[in-house]
Amino acid sequence: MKFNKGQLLVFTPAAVLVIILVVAPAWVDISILSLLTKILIFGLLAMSLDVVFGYIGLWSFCHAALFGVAAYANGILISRFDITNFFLVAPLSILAAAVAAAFLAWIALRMSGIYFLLITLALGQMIFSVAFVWRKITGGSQGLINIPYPDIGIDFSSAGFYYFTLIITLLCGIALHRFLKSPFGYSLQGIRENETRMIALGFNTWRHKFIAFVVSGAFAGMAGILYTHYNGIIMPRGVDMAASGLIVIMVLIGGAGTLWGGLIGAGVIYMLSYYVSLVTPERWPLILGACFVAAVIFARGGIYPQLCRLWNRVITPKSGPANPEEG
Amino acid sequence: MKGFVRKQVVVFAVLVLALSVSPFSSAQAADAIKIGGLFELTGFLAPIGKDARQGAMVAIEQAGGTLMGRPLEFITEDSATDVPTSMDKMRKLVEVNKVRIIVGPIFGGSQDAMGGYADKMRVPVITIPSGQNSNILKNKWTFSAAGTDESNGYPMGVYAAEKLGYKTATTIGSDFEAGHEFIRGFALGFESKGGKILQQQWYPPGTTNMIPYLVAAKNKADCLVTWWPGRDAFAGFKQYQELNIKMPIVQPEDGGITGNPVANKHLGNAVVGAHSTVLYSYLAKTTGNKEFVAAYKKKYGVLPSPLAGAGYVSTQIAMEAIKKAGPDSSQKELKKALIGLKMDTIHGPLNFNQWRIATYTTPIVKISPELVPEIVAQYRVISEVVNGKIKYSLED
Amino acid sequence: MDVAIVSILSGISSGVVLFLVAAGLSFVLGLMGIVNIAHGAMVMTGAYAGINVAKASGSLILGGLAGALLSGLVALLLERGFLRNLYKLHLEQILVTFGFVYIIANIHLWVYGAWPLSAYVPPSLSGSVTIGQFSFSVFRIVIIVIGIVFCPILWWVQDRTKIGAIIRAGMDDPEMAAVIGINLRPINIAVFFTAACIAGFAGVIGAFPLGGVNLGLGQEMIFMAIAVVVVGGVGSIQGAFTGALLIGVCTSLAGTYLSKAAIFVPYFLMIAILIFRPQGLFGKS
Repeated sequence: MKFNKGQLLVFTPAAVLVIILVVAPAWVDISILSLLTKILIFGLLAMSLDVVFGYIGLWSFCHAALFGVAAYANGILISRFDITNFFLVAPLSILAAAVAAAFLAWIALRMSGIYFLLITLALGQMIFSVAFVWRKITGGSQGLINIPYPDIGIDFSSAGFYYFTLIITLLCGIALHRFLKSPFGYSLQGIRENETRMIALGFNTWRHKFIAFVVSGAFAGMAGILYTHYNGIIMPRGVDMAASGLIVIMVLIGGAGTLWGGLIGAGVIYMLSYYVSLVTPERWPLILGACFVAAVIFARGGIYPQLCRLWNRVITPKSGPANPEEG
Repeated sequence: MKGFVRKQVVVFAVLVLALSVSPFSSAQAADAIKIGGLFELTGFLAPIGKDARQGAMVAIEQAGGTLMGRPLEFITEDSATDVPTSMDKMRKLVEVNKVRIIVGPIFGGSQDAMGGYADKMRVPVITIPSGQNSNILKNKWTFSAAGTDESNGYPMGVYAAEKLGYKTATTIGSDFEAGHEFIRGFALGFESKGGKILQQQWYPPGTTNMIPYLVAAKNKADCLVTWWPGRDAFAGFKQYQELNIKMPIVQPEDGGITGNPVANKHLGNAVVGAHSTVLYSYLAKTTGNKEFVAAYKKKYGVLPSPLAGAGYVSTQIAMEAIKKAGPDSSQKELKKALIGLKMDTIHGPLNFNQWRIATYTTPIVKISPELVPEIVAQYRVISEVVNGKIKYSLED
Repeated sequence: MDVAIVSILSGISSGVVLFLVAAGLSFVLGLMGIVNIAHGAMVMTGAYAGINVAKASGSLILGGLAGALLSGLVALLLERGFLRNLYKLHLEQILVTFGFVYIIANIHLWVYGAWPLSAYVPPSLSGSVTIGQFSFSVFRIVIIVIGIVFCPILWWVQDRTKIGAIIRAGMDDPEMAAVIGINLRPINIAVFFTAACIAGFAGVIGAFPLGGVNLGLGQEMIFMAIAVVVVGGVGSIQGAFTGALLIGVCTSLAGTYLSKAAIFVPYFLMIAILIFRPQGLFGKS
């Protein structure tokens, strides 16, 4: 494939970011590295949400619960059943999340808009409640503890796990990107814009939405698996309505319908929370809330589209006699 | 092309700068002794997290900011009553601030998560106050400064059966792991003296209406055992009073409320006559307590609550251990010093056994008509790990 | 027997508070299409301020009015300052109101401290009645009566007054209403303001059945209010009332007889309604 100079320029910031992320462990201290790992994991979750939230326009408020199903499956298989082989456990956990997503979609897709939001909220909370109440399996309010790093035959250090997460997140991101740029993916956007027309054109929109939801759930599950290894423990509080709401906020702040906006949104929220709480340990939620409001006023549509616009202005040659030699 | 490259470099530099910004600790002497503190300053444990931090600050101030002639740095962070945040802050304290020992947190979930990391990094964590069973059994660098949750409930069970003469009990507890452990501890103590638990009820955490559970409590029982953490206690006591339930209330742990004179003022006479185990009582006639209460009252204007006392003790333990092992000791020597530690604290004489569970003097209080939690009994509980389970007995 | 009676009555007392909170949310959603996640925070704002005023002045009515007014003003600030430009932009509304929840909660932590605030019970209402082996507070009965009285009043406004007709017209078909010459803008703002006022008032009197006010109230209330709106239907007083009482009583009975199951009651009801009658018990198809 040949790239012309223009295309290369467009991708430069992304390439630079990837290079920085790859090189990070060398000059960044480990607590920042763990923060980056967390951002990657939740960024993946936000990206999976964006598939249904931004691209189809289905406001799902239960993605933390799907993430949780895989996370718990992972934790339960490892802690309660002593099955640790990552290549066995991870696919099973992803399957669990996909099945849960299928089930939720089957109930929730009967409606749309605000009702979809509400029913996913209720269903997500139900899953949270089950996790809470079923103490024998899920450990109840305490959850499951002491989950080790993934068992793939090598010994993980903090930096090692960071690379593991980085690679998986990037691969998943690229996979989602291709999924969304495929004809199927475009049809999803068509459904968002005008579902009746899509039906008139002969699309089985229900099936499209269902498949997209299950795919979204599977990727959310991948994030859940990474999370259990990262944290070492899984608890109900991380998968409740408030958590689902936070993922939605990440997508909105980064930019709904942009895919990579989810990653940006996760980065913004966690970096802000971390650094602001160092400065004011008691007032940081207030500042975070103010930032959400500011994002709506100044970065309408999300931060990612604004960054793209900025970059485009940077690389667009200034008006005047066009000189093909100029960048 | 040149102008364009310049722009690229600027963008690159900005990104690099953004990622590498981490707050640098202020330039300090290389030989400062660093202790880390993780407290719940926001989130649902905020009221007691703040108290604990305040107690800890009194301990640091009493030390005069130095330890064995070296400057003492106490770096505190907010755990937000949230596990991932606790982990991030702990990593920062250990790897950026390079603390030798960590005091806190209170939240059981955070303690569990941090335990594994503490093991890996060999940093002792002195919990505030008690640790949950699973945590203690699995994590070898976590020190439970106030026994286990069960060991706190145990003496109340003994006291209720022996001294108050109750033969049967019905329980209502918040459906947290800690709640199950406190009430299980009570049951162990109660049954060891011939008592019988008739019924157990668990309500979803965050419930504000306790009436359904209070009316369902079997009123044939001699006493009502409740575990109402934090804000649950406010609804619980008020509604208990409103319904005019005859069974007296007995608590395996005060949830940070009943032993707290400030909270009792808010609760009013609903709480009069209730018995509870507390972590710490400002009325206890233990070593250094008068000075602590005076110092705390002077700095913050109120009497210290149980968690304030616990924060104070845990911080003192940290400082004492470093003193004992020596400021330049290895982490392993620090751990050894902690295990053999014997201190006279405001919690009474305190020592850690080989399983890193502390034995201290547990006060049992009864709320007087003047809303003062008066000490009616004191117990010392020994916790031993036998066959993977923890067994309790009383020190004579 | 007395156990069941007290359980049901306590469920009704929680239910009427929920009704007051949810009614406002229901109308704002139906009329303006605004998803106001900060509605629960309005309850908290009114409660903290109103109870403090009541305790200081010795008058519950004064406290209730103060709480209602403060909540209304905060809502007005939110609407005029931020939401006015976001009509139809549901996602942005969610983001802004979510941010406000964080801000309001933290301001309350700052101003009032982390301790829960106990309810204000007027001395004249602090007596109790006996039901079997239990005592039941007179104040709780009064709250039930207040809630039950509010219902027909609001219903009358909704069904029998011109303003009610205008609001319902605005919900059913805003374009048509505009064609007839009805200016919906001031109506919308008035509804938003009133909804918050009622919520704030509910916080003040509702503190008692809720066992006191705490910083988590905003989050708890918004979820329960959403559950009521789903079960009862959007834009209907009778829906909000039925939904709220249903949820309140079922949760209470579940707690008494099934202990742990109580946590599932709102979700079961919501999901059942959404499957079998998605518009809610009294909503329009």
